Amino acid sequence: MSFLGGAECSTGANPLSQFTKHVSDDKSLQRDRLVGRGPGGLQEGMRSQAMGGGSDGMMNEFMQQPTQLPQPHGPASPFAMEHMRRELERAQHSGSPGWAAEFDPGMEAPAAMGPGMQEQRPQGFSPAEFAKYSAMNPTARSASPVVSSPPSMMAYQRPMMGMGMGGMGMGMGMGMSYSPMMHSPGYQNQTPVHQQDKGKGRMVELDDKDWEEQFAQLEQGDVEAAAKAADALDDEANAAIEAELNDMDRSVDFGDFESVWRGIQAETETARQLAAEDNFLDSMHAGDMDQWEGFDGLNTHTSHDPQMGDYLFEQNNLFNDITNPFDEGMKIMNEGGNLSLAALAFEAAVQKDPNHIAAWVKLGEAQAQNEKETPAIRALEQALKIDPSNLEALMSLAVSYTNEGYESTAYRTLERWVATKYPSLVKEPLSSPAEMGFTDRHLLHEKVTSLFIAAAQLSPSGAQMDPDVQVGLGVLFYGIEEYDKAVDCFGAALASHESGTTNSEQQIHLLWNRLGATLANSGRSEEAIDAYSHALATRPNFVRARYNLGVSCINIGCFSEAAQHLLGALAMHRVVEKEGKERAREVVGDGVSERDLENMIHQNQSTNLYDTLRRVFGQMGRRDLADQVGPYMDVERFRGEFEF
Amino acid sequence: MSVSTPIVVVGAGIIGLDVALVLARQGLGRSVTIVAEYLPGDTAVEYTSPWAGCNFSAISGRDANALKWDRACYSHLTKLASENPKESFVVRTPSTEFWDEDVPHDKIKAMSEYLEDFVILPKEELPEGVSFGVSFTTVTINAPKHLQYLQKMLKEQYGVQFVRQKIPNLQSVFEANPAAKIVFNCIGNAARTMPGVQDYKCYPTRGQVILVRAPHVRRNIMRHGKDYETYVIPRPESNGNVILGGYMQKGNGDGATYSHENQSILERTTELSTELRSAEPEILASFAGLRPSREGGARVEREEISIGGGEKRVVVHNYGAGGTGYQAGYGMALEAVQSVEDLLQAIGKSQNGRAKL
Repeated sequence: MSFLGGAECSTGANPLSQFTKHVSDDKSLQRDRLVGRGPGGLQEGMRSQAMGGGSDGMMNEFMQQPTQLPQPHGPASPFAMEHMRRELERAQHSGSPGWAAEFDPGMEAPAAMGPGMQEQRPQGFSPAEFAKYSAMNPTARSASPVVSSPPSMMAYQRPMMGMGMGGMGMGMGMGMSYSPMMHSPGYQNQTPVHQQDKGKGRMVELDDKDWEEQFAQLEQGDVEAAAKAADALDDEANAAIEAELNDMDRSVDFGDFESVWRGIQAETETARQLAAEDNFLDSMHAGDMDQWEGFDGLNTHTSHDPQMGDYLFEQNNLFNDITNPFDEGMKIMNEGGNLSLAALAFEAAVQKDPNHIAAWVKLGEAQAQNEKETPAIRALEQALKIDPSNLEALMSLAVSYTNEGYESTAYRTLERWVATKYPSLVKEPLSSPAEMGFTDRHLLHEKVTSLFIAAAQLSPSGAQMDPDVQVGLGVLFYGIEEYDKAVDCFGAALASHESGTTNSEQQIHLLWNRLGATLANSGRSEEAIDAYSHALATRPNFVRARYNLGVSCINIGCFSEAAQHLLGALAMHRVVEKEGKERAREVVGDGVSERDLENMIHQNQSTNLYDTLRRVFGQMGRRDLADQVGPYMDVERFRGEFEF
Repeated sequence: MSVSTPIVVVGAGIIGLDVALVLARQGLGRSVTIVAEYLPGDTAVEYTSPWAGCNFSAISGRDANALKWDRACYSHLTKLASENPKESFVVRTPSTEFWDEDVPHDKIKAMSEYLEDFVILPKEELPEGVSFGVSFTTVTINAPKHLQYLQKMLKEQYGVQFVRQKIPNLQSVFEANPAAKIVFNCIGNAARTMPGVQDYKCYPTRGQVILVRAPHVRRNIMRHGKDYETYVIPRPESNGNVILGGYMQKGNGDGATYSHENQSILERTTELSTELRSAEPEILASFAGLRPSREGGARVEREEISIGGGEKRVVVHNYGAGGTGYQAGYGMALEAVQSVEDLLQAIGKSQNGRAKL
């Protein structure tokens, strides 16, 4: 079956084929509000380049008091944007050796190019537009989604944009992030304009000539003579020792073996106490260590199934004493409450009844939305152990596996999903979880995709297809980086009037986020930001969407906005942790140190959030802030500088 | 065992650990694996770091790099001492430093700009034979414990992985680990002999120290002599242990300890430190350490190398710190990491730059 133009997403027509139409109002002002204001943006870019100069840059910023980032002001100007875009473009291609591009396949892509580079990309859409399109002539369809039209943003209201994106500045990102200009490798022969490096390049070795120059500058004349004699010193020293030797009484006793041991034991006594605490902490984190087994920093795995291990519960859960924690958890989720709290509620529920499958499923979903993928996977896998045919768990798990780079496992999970919901379609036996080579994975993908397309074609017309099938297809296309097709599919699910699970009122924010992530990972950052804001409009506590929003802000160079969103996500984690900590303190008493208490609270960390935040602060040239990021950070302390 | 991260740090001494820390603080912890023959908690003569005193002093070089790295590292260490002395084993300690002759005035002046509580001692207070003296607040470090602290923190808070493995040559790191794009070469003394490096400017500088129990000693004190280095370093969080030293024997790779040298150390240190004199120290053990020195100072340098098949990779050399590993290590790490900033951008993006479905 061929996969052209999005035919697979519907029976006869792709409702989204019409998305090539765009609302024709001018988006330039909106774009600018998004990414930078006025001449301030321009100046900051240039100033930051001057500050970040040469190989001393990092050192200097590390040691100096960071100055307050200047806040942009003044009316939006499209020209500042243009300049920034060009800067980005130029810096992107200047200093790095060509083969450095292989480090990041996306480096050449428009991902970091800022807005306006996506002129040729298909446009966004709104639910209203979906409805309109799906009613239109189903046969009208463009083979290729590429259209020559001016770039535009989505037409609908963005209530979140003003709140979340106010006060954007370009920050230090311009200068700091493109130091290829500062560090041209020898064979590139470039001399960047803003070079502050004093021409010493990367070779930091001093040779004898430099030593002598140093000494020539010293005030004291005798120093030079002494320095030159320095090399002769050791010969003399050795000779002196020999002399000493001959005079010495060599019968000094350094104590018997026992006293030596006593001394060393005494020294390590305190260490042993700490070691005891260490073991405690080790067992807390043992589960997390599993995730590092076989984990590839570049997010591609070998094709075996992940060994995630058992779910690790939070200690001292406030919900343990409540009669019906599951209901509490559902209430919190449906009201868009704090996801950490919801997760705790569901944890209590499964601890009360380990066979409560709905609680396991909701626990997994709460954790995933809370940007804690590993606990999510553990919980969902547990759900499937109890009931292997739970459709919600299968779909959520497929998404989580995809996020973590376990593609084959994701495809197998989707295969199970379609076999469960549409058993009549499945003619062959299900794929086994054997190790898969690259070709096998490709074949598996094709097999599962065919099944989903067959499921999609069960509906007579596009408008009545199962939105959950659409989502599954979207995930499949996303897995092989066919992002445009995936966008079509998620969009179709969003537009659908059929009632599936994935587009239910309780879950539609997830769909918006999925759409956003697909857009983001294909370089369409602005559209992604719009999609995320839709998700956050109904679920302000949707931590993952907020995290994603942060990532997209980084991609368009809005670092302080990115920091705001990431800090916001962390603040939401903290709310629960604070309450939990106070409660834990009551239970545990004063015998436990602050650190231990904190460790108990931080059972399931979100390393992703911390690392991304560190990266953002690094981009902003604020290593002082980056150093503060971690499980023990005081998120509140950042409120002075960032709004969240 | 194959490593799957794009960044590999070879060597788990203070230099390698500091590099990993700088990377981790940038958010790249999960992209780093430390591969080393010895890991924190081990002792071997080839593994220099556990044997250090150690403290921050003017024993380092006078060149611009040394000054720069020292300054950055002092900032890093005093911060640890302020925020987390018990866990990091880095503690503020009053210090006195003497020179008999050959006073490095420019260097002292440079250091005076950032050392806390810096004071030049009046001539009357100087012991006989000493021509110049200063006092300031230094940091003393319990070396082996600090290494373990770093390892634990890197693993638990930042997701850095540790692999015990002896590397036969530099090229093999890339060959065995195809995902590795950048290797930080932090192998210390091995830089002299490791195929692929073989830097003959490197040489060991032997030191010998005595570990004593002397809880009454609170002050760090050093004397730079014409042909000797004498120092008394109280060891943080060690139940009152103190390190007495020492020697700077260039080119000497002997890992044994000698009783006559112990004798000399005892004599020189009791003469130097009134606190030490005030009560008999309990002698516990004697250690020898080989400082990984290098003519011209440490090498912090990016190098592009070819591995098979026309492929290129990047090595950042970061070795040869001699006796300044702890007091300059963080500064050197900053510079080493800075040298590959462009490549780290790409790695950061692929590690942290993906949106989540």
